[in-house]
Amino acid sequence: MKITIYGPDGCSNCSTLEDKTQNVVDEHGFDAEVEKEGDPMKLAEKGIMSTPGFEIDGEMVFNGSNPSEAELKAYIEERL
Amino acid sequence: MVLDQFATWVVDILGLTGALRAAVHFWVYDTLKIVTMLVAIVFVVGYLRTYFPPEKIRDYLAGKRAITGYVLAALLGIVSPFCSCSTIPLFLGMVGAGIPFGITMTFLAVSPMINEAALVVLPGVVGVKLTALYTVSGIAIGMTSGFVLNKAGLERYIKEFDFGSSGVDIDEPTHRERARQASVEAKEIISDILPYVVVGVGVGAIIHGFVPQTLVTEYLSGPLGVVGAVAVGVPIYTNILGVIPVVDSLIGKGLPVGTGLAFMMSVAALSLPQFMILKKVMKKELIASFAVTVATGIVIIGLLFNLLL
Repeated sequence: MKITIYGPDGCSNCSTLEDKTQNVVDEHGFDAEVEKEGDPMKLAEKGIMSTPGFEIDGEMVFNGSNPSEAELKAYIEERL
Repeated sequence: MVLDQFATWVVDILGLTGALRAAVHFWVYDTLKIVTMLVAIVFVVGYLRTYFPPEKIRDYLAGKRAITGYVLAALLGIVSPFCSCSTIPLFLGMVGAGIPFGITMTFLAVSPMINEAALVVLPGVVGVKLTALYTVSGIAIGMTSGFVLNKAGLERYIKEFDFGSSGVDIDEPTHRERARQASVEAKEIISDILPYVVVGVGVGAIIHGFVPQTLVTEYLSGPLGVVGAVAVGVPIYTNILGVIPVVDSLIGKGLPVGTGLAFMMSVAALSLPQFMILKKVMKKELIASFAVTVATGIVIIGLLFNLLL
């Protein structure tokens, strides 16, 4: 699966989410690729007004919040 | 006060005397004071903000008449999150929703210049009167800039895009979730701002302890001082909270108040990194016009206050 974190450069909250997601993926050995999209125009096209946005395989799972690693794990497992 | 006693204790332990003692005391005391105020306000506002998701605000703004829209956009600029990295998605969301161009530019101008944390920290550092002047003139500059840019017909310089739909259903969060969200946000914001505060207060402390008053009154006063302050302030990037203690020290050394305000505003409102992000969403003609309009407004306000106060 492909996980995309939407967050412009300089948004530390977004980088934190990226790191946490990568941790979860590594820790549980999920077959997932984590990437970050920083272009504000891409965010607009996805309809994101509050950062970060969290997308799994094209489905926006949540945006504007920063859940714990346990919640992230649950989101990923639901969509495996 | 406890913080004052702590700062005195630190300089006593270090065995400092004279100007160095005053400077270190200032550094420790002001850093602690600002950080203490920040922690409280950032958490409280972060919690309240969960009641006003941007989508709701956008829809609310969309139905308003022009003048109401400008005022609301300025107020929204104050309570919106700190970093221009979160301001710009909000700005694009408004543009995408068809909110009039001038109103969106007002939001963009006010957002970095005034925020709730500055409003809480400023009175404690520079006094209530200056805080009020700063806020009112910041709003005035933002509204005027939005209005002028709109009249100049610069809307066409925003890059074309279709604002999509995220498709996320937002459940009404519980109090617990709101509090958690606010504390995550507060932690991020504080750790982002802290370096700027420590450095800003440090620079303020050096000015406070070591820069002779004559240097400030001789070289930094006069009308050219305002223009110079803005010219220096525009490219610099620091958080507004980092520049407050610097300006406070300079005013203490005899810097005219209007010049101090102008410097503070130009540092906060415009910066090179912000232009780099804006470049991704608008053409450089608009960025340049935006910068020139806001900077001119700041110079006028600075000159005016120097004349009146």
